[in-house]
Amino acid sequence: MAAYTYPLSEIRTRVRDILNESTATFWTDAELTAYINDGVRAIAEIGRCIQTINTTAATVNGTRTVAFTGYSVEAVLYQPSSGTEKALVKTDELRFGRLQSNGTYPQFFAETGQYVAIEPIPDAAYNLDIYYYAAPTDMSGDADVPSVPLAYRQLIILYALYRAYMKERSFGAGMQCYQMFMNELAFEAMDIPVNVPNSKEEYIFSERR
Amino acid sequence: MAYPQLSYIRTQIRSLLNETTAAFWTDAELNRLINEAERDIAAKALCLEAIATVTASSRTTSFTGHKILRAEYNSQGLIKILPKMMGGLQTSSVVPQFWFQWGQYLVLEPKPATSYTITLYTAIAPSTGMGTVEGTADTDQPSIPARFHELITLFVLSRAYLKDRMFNTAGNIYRTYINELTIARKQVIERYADTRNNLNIPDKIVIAGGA
Repeated sequence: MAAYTYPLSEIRTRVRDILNESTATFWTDAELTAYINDGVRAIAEIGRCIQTINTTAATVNGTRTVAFTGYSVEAVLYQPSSGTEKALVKTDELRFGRLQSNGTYPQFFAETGQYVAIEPIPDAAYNLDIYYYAAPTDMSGDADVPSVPLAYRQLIILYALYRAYMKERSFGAGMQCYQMFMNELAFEAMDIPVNVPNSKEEYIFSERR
Repeated sequence: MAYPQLSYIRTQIRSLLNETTAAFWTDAELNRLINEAERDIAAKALCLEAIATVTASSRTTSFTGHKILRAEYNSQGLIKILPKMMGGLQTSSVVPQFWFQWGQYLVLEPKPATSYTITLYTAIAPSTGMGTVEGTADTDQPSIPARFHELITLFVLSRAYLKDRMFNTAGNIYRTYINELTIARKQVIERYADTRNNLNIPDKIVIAGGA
């Protein structure tokens, strides 16, 4: 059985439950939808929770940069036509031309705006996998579901309430909801999107912890 | 009406709200909040655990749930790594040895040469009872572990008082909810393997404040 997915219309219903306005009067549905989409964006931006892989990226001969669309890049994997795939080491633009490379295939990358810059400068088309944090897609249809993972979707309600109370000039109430939203986001972000590797001590029968 | 059925939880909440018959808060609203609470607890505490198998024939394999807690192949636990470590680790063969989670994907290292069956120990979202497309039957029960059931009441009260525009009360109850959730999570979910040191009879035990 599938888990509950939070369609747009049902998020609006939940927001209206708490605003005590079951039929649109002071807050229109269009306004609430905008607050809800703002909430999804805030979650994706702060929580960096939409983790996506672009498996079709490739370098261009003589061009250092490869474009990506999203918030930031976590890792870039070089996909040779044969042999071992290898993650590129993250560096910065100052070190370009100063790092010891082993061949001409991509070995280092730097993130610069909406591009990953490759070192050494590619001398051919090399296939890359880019692991990055993506931006969400706005919802408009009643059945649309948020792009953020399931664990984050209940937070959208608090964010929409914060915005709704601001319109009503209930600033204290708005801030209360905003603080709850941020607290919830910190709680979710503590665990779910974070990758903590195992240490060697974790998978042996160690002396002490 | 028996604990922890939906009708029992709702009655308990109505008692605390001092509204035994639906007037300001409808039953439908409270049902939605109760369902919401269960999902929130499962997401924050990662307390609803499941064991699933996936067939991995490429580097990335999708899975269902909030988080992969552990992965196992061929009766051996796989080691969790960071994405940047791909291709840089010494591997003894081509079978899966390392993993990490990226969004809704399990990513394996080295890249699978063929199909492998991987066992995943995961934390999932509620999908039965009250977690289905909104449980509304009075006999529906939460699927999260029992230790977390009482927290549902606090979550719902916090939201219900928001509707009543008692914002400070809602905030205080919300903080209580988070505190309780943190304690429950620590007791139930945070687990540590024994070390050799744990299995030795200690030389001496010093009780706090003792000599």
